[in-house]
Amino acid sequence: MARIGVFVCWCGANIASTVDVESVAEAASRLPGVAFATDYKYMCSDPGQKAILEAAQEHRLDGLVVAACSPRMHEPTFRQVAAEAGINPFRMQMANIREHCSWVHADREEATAKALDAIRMMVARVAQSEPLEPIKVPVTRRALVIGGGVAGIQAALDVADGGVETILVERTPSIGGKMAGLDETFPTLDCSQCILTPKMVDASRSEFIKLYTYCEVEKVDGSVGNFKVTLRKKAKYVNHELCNGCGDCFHKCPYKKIPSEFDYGVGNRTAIYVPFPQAVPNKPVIDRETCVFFKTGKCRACEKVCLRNAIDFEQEDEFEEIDVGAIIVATGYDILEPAEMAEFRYGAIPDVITGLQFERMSSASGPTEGKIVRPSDGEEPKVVVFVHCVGSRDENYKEYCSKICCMYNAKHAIILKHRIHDAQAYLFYIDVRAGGKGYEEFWKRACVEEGAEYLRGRVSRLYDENGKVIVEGQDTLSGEQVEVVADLVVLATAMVPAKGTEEMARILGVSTDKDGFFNEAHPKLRPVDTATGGIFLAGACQAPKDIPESVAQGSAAAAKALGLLTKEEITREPTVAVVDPFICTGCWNCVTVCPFGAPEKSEITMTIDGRKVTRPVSEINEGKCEGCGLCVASCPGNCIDQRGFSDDQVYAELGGYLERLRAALTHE
Amino acid sequence: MKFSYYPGCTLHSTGAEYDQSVRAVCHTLGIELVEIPGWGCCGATSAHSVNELLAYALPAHTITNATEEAIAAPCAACYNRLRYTDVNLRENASLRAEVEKALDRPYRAGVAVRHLLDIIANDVPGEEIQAKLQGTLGGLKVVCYYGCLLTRPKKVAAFDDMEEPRSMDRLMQLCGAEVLDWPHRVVCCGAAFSLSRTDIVRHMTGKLLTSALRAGAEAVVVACPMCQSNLDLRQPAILKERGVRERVPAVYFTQLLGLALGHSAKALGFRKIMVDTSSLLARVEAGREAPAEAEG
Repeated sequence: MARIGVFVCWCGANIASTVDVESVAEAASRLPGVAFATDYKYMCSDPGQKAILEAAQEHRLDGLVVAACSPRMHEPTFRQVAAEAGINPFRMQMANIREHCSWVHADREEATAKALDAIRMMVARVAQSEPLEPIKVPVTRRALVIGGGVAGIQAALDVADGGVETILVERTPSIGGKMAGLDETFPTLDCSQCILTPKMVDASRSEFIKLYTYCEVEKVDGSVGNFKVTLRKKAKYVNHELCNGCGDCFHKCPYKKIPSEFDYGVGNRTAIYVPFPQAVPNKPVIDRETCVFFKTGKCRACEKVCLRNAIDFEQEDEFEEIDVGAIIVATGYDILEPAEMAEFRYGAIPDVITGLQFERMSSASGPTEGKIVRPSDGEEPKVVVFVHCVGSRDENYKEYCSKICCMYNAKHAIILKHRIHDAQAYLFYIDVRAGGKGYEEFWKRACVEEGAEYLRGRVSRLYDENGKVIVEGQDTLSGEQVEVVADLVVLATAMVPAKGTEEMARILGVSTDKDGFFNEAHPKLRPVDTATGGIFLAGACQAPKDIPESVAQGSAAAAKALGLLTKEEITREPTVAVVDPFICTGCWNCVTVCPFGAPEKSEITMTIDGRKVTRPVSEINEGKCEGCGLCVASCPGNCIDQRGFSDDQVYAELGGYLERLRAALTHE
Repeated sequence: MKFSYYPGCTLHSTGAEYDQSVRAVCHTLGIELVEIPGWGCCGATSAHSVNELLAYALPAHTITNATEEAIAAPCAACYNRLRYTDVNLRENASLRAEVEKALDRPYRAGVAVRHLLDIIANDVPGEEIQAKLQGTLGGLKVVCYYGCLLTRPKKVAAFDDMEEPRSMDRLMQLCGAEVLDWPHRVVCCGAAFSLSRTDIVRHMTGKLLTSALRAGAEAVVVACPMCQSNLDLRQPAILKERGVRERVPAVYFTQLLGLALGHSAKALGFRKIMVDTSSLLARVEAGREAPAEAEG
């Protein structure tokens, strides 16, 4: 007979006010297999833990049931206590009588009976529990960073700084991300490129960073410590080993009117192109979709002019498989397509642009060389309206606040005044949210020193009239409807997860929230972890963020990855599937259903009727098994069991649940 | 197709030509309308400004009286109040209990409340309408005006894009009108302020009219008797105030559809429109003489 100890927690009044903890402990002490039961005000506290240790010694316990909160809260705590008491941690179970009982019930009598049910179930289960030892797995000391924006660059630099090899993958031809396209940055008005490009160069020069641009993550297998990642290196049609980045090819390219992705269509690029002059790597790629040669079979102008014979029209996408121990996801954001919000008539009126387009225009290295102009006629705008919360904080589009727009609108208003002294900025806002170091002072400066006119209210409609943009809106402070006749309107559109985030989440096996951003493991205490071990988050792929926050999160994710990668080996939960080779017929059903590739095709040799027989059987790779139970449930021969969740344990637990019902029926 | 018909107060009075043209068009298109027995006022703006329970109970009374599975409402304000009530009574059990107490009978949930434009534009196949056309609108230049209540709020009323609806545009194109783009298709006309704050209505409707004229419209096509009356009755005064000499009649979509389907201007109540429609009708007449060129 087992010698199980039951410890019933009051959780202050959380449990004790609804559950009669004393009578529960008393009843538990009479359950079969229970050698000792008691209750205490805070079982997780130091004296509570001590009480368990003492009882374990005094009553020679070999199993524990802690009736308290959710195992998500304190299972690690009490497993540790079990280990200290010399009891195998997997012979400790928590009966959740808080979240599953006291918090959701009002009737004291029924809640008390339910709490005892939960304890009876766990006692029956522990009695059937085998001691288990954690699985140790070696760690691959290499990190993968997905996304080469400022968050990804920072993460890669910091991991590399720890002496760990890092692979930085970027899907566009250059690293730098959105930040590389910005003009000056709030709240200090330092030039974005001036502070970012040195980091980009550092990343490309670091001996520990391998840069893969124009490259996408195709597939991710494995688990924490040992991921196997397939990369698709998209064909660049330029041999970067030979190319020296002289630029002759794109100057010669006859097809020059392709709207530049980097300039958000404000400027153009050629078919063979470097997205911007400070790109890293500063070597071109050919865009197959727009290249005349790929369309008609004629041209090859770039090939003719290249002295190093670097152009290679025969190139194809290549696949490379890499092993990494940790993955940092920094896939960033895009903006909500303003054309989806018809009231702003974006696309219909040329002088209605987005904030990012304004950035490219005001950037000294942008297509207009820093001159702010109306796209319709190239004239200098004198009245510019900036619209906050376009698609953000709007129940019709995105409910959330995009966080950075208040600050960059203030910045745009300041930049406008600096470039066109007699220009007037009007800003339609809901609230000005300026939480951040120097942020409040910054928008005040826009307002007080730079003369920006803030109108508290939303814009209802834009339309064009005689070459001007009429902005209709409200000023809720004066209670008046207002109409501004503008030369240029700039929309601060909502930040949304980058295109392809959903697909990336599927590839990585991590979840996204209602708005499509990646889910962190805990909103406060684990902001850069995902629920999947070894996969971390950085930057705006998790929620809208500005540059300082993205950089901080990049460094935080790097610290988490280094913490993992500097270990020799990691321990994994031993609650994995196990095959009974004597009854397995090798049908490979488990191989088909497993999403992690854990069941492997193997063989067993046995002696039957004096003859040696070798036959195929399935074997579980413990390093890959996530313990999800799919193979266990779907094995047609019932030859797979799961450690810690064996049939014996589960049936015993069920029996414990049905006990009260059985007793009631027998009584009648 | 059979619908419970909810004309609302206006279609029995100032909007009689809307009622006339709705019945004519529906008859031709095979839409059977059964007027709701004992229907009452929807409460309009007044009810929800003074008493919330009344604002729900009035439409609930009419919905519960419906004999068919779906209600066809031609007035945008009626449609909006009925939809608003239905959505809220379905979602809010305690509100529903309160309303049922006021009604003294159970609320009939499950009746679909539809605007007549939605039914004609989205339920009747375009080919079917096209087959019944007796001529075209002869390229009459129109702007489609949906008003503010037909598609808002999105979660309650929108059967089309909230900000850029197109169902009426498609219908008018089908009838051979040249539909012009304009930015004011869902902007408020001032509505019931017509009586209490005419200055507001003059300002708001004035914007609509000048925008329609600037676009080059020969008619503003409407789907709401309130909008129609503001655009029509006050037009001479408003445009005179703004120094504009041209006029642009505001007509119901059912009137233009009716013309294309071969009904007479008289049967469609055109004479009840205050702004002169004679040149509009002459244009359509000319189009009728040279039919067959159906667009699609």
